[in-house]
Amino acid sequence: MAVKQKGERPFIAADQTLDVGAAGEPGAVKPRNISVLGRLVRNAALRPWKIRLGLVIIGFFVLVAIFAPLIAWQDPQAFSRDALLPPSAAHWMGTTQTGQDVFAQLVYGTRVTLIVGFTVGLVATVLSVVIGLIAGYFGGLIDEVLSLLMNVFLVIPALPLAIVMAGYVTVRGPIPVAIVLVVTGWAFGARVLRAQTLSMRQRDFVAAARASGESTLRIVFAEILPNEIAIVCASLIFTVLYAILAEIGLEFLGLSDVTVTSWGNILYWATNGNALLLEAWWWFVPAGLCIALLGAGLAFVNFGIDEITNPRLRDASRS
Amino acid sequence: MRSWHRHAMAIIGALIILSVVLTGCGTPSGNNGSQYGGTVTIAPSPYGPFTRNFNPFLPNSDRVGTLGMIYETLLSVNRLSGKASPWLASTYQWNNDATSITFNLRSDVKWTDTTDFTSADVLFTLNLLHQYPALDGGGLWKAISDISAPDAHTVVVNFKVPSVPILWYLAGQTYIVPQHIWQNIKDPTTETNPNPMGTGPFTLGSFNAQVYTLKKNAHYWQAGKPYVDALRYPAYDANAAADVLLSTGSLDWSGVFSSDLQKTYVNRDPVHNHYWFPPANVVMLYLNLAKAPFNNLAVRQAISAAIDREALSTQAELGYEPVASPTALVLPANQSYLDPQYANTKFGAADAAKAASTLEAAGFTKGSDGVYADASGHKLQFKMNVVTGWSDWVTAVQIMAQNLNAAGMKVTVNAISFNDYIAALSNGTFDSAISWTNPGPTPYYLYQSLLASSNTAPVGQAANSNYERWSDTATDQLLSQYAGSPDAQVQQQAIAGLQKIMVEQMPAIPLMEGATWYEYSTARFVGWPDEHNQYASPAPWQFPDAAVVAMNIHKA
Amino acid sequence: MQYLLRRIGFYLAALWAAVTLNFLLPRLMPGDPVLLLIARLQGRLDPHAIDALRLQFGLGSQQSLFTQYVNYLDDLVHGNFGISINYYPTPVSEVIGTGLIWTLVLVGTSAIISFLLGTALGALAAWRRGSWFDTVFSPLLTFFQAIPYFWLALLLLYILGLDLKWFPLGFGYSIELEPAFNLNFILDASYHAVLPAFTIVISSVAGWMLGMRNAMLTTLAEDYVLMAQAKGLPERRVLVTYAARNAILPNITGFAISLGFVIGGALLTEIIFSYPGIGFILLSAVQAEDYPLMQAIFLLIALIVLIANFLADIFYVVLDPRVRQEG
Repeated sequence: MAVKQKGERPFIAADQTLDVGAAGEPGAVKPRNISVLGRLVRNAALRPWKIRLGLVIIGFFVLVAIFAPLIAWQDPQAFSRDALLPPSAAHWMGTTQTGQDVFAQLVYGTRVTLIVGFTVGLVATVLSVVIGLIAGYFGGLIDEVLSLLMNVFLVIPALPLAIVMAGYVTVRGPIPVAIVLVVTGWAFGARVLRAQTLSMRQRDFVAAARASGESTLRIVFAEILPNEIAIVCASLIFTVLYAILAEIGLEFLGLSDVTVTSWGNILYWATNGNALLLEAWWWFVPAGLCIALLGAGLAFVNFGIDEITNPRLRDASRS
Repeated sequence: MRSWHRHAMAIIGALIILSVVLTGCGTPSGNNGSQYGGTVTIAPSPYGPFTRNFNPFLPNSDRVGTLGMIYETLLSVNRLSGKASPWLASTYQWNNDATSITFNLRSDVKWTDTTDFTSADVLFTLNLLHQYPALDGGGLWKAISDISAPDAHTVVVNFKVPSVPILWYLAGQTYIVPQHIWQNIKDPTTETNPNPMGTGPFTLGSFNAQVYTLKKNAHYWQAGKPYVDALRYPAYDANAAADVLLSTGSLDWSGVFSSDLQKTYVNRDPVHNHYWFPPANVVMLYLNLAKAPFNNLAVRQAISAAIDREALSTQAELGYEPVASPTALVLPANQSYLDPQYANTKFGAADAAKAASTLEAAGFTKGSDGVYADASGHKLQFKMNVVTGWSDWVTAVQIMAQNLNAAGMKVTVNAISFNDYIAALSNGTFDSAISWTNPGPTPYYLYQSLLASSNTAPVGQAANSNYERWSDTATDQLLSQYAGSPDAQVQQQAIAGLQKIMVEQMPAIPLMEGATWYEYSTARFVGWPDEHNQYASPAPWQFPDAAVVAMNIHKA
Repeated sequence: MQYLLRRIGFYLAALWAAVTLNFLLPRLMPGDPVLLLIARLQGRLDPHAIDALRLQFGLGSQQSLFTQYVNYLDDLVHGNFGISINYYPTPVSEVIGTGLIWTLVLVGTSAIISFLLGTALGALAAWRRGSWFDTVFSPLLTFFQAIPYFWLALLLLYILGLDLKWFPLGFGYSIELEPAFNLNFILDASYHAVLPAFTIVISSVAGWMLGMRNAMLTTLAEDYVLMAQAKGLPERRVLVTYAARNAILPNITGFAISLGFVIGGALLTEIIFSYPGIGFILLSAVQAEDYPLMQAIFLLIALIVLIANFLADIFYVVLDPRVRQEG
């Protein structure tokens, strides 16, 4: 799991306010009238193949999730007597020990994985936008407290915390898992946005807005936020990636509802059913590949956004 | 990931001895006496890492290596046949009305520190259970009125009421500890007893969290036994890990639920690798009789008719667990108790039509959504509980839910944590749940824990084992008829009456026969119990039975 | 020095937060797992043991939350993490005991290998940007970093263990050996550690490589690097002394943050390999719903990560003259 590097100095809880505009900060982007989003859209159609590739992969899985019933003709939950069959024309990816169709499970499983991933991503990102912008804009004691909070959540290992929290939930299922992942997954985005807001706050257009008597709320969310859209997108993507991988991990441990059809549960049942010793590779290989592919898609979008916000990363030939 | 809890909870039970004639236990065939030595590697059900706790009275100690191996019981009872053999006691006698029992102890038994074993140790152990009710898992002192020791090798136990079945707890499941050591232990409920000292065939060898060993007791009172030098218990936390060890041939003896053993184990070494899964208890679908619609017999019959037990057996349990008998007897072990009128009573194939006609005859009608509702419009809609980690049962519940939904009921699978599951069962805050029964050497024990009104409680209070809340005077009378008489014929009649109640009134719905998981390899050791020589219940997690196996196996 | 003192202050705050979170978790979670637990142990525990459990979880306790909190902190200071439920009456610290060293050695070794390898590869990819190495490796590793650790573990076990039989199928050492500090045992344990370590390295190397690549690209455009090149200094010297040395700074910070993820993944890896570390204990704790044990494991992991972060900070100070001058 990568952590995006912003070329910043380490986070220093006690005096973050001094830590502005270090080398390579994304603050290098000059604010203009056109928002970064506009540039993103124009650029996405132009050069960064990474974004395009990433979006194609994500789009593919989204389509699979939406049209699952049209793609998979079998009920993913239906048991049958055809146990542990290798891939064939009837079962494109073989069957499980209880005769369930792996392909159907994979197709339907895309839904849970994407819904949990994106829901957690969105909710956590909203949280991190609010917290990050408030901390960055107001500074002072508010910033001290909020920064400490996010740095603590960053440094406390997320997955073990999620496992303990999920362990406490007696009624297992995707919803408790999602809640646990929001709690453990908001801090990263908040920290990046705080740093960005800190440098935005010094800009002329913010000073102008303040002078013209705009409300604080409006300045933060209508003036500053649009200029940080790229970073918000990047942290959204990053959080989704975290959420998907952590969700799979929790499902694999049996901490979600094991009767739901999802990628993590496919792996849970495969390890439980000794897929490895039975050499039923078709039972556990495809799900892992799908996770890696979707994850790579998200990561590509992330790097693409990075390259837009930090022009030095762009693939130009070296002089 | 079938949790150890399942064994731990299912091992509660009891035994009765019908005859005063004690039969000898089986001995390994073909032992020429020169096959000494070797270390047996054993994987019981998943447990580990180990903590150094060899307290025989605590539920969370390393009981597998303690009970029977280090500490012993007065008698040895074969769970499969119900037969009792002499052990620390050489003989015993009931009085005429089954209110008093006298044990005559062997005089040649010594603790491993060479102190003599006497009746004082037995009295001390029983008094310990009296003093600390938390340790009295068998509930001995609910029935015992007083105990005494006329001499160093005689113990007399008197009961408040005739109590034939308590003998199993008292003589087969109570482990005698040395008075001269335990009298100095401050609090036996929190004692971990790191250096156990008993009378048994083994003593503690080396210990660490990943593996511990038991060494042969060279001065064991049964001359010439055990044959093997040591037992080794590696720690592992999931069945998958044990399956890996099994497949590589590193294990000699294990007791894990494993999918497709034929492929992962037997086929890798068909000459040496074997398994045998004697049925030991009945897996039930419990319906909460304290609430509608389950208090309606027709609904119970309809649910039973709609279930595809064949699929449960073959798909959820991979064919290891046969379909149960409607009488809830464990067959073939309890064959001799089977009432002739039920000789051919078996559950048929899943029959949604029969379920439908049963429901319609009872006044249910199918709504536009395809779900049956009673006259006042209450839909047949309920949850089915299962522990989220017990994957074979999760599959079984999913299959049943599919069956019942096809038969016009709305059933949802409720996979929950073990704590939640057991609390819902004991407090009666569930609709339906798959669960085990508590067997013993005779059918009485299963019926008593499942049906006795003393084992249930009103909804909201904890029930011991009668989770479905069956409370019926005729049933209770049959149970006390059995408990109050040492006469085999009277007992047989009582068991027949209980079979009738199971078949006709369905207090709980039998599904399949819970198996005793047992895999063994003859590559290094022979003399294992098998289908043809059932000298002990064979799983390494069955105590004290496992000690009988460990004493009888020897080098190949 | 002032910088390090500030960091120590932060770590103490983080540790306090982790400890407090740990205290609040059972008291804040919906439902009451502990009540259920006591229901489950009814009849097997005597009343004073149940009272002890109630106190441990602040259940039906007559004490105020604050008093409970003070007692809890006092217990922690004395190394008392409570009593395991699954292993009652063994203290939690004793259950965790032996697992810790296995995890520390496995994760420590693999994380450092992975970090060094990733940093070197990242520096190289940035230096040779646009070359085949960069074009092939960067996307490939992007793919790798999204692979769930435990799935990769399964795959490696399947191919290298089961199929090719090059490596043992899990466990920390051969079942016939008694753990002891001798060459035979250490060799055997190392052999068993190869696959789990390999899994952790492959899964985590990508993050550090890509992070380093980005940091390098940024640094390579800096004036002082261009200046050094203009002066005609040898390529390698510019790469190592001018660019990489500065680019590695943010990566060290990244190392600290990522370590939490690596440990999380390593726990799941241990489970697949039945490796006798903390992950193995965590799984049995999760399965047996042994809350005190789960919480103690979480605290312990948090502590390890904090210590590792602090060590990373010390490196940072050593490598970054700007921070040193501040002090």
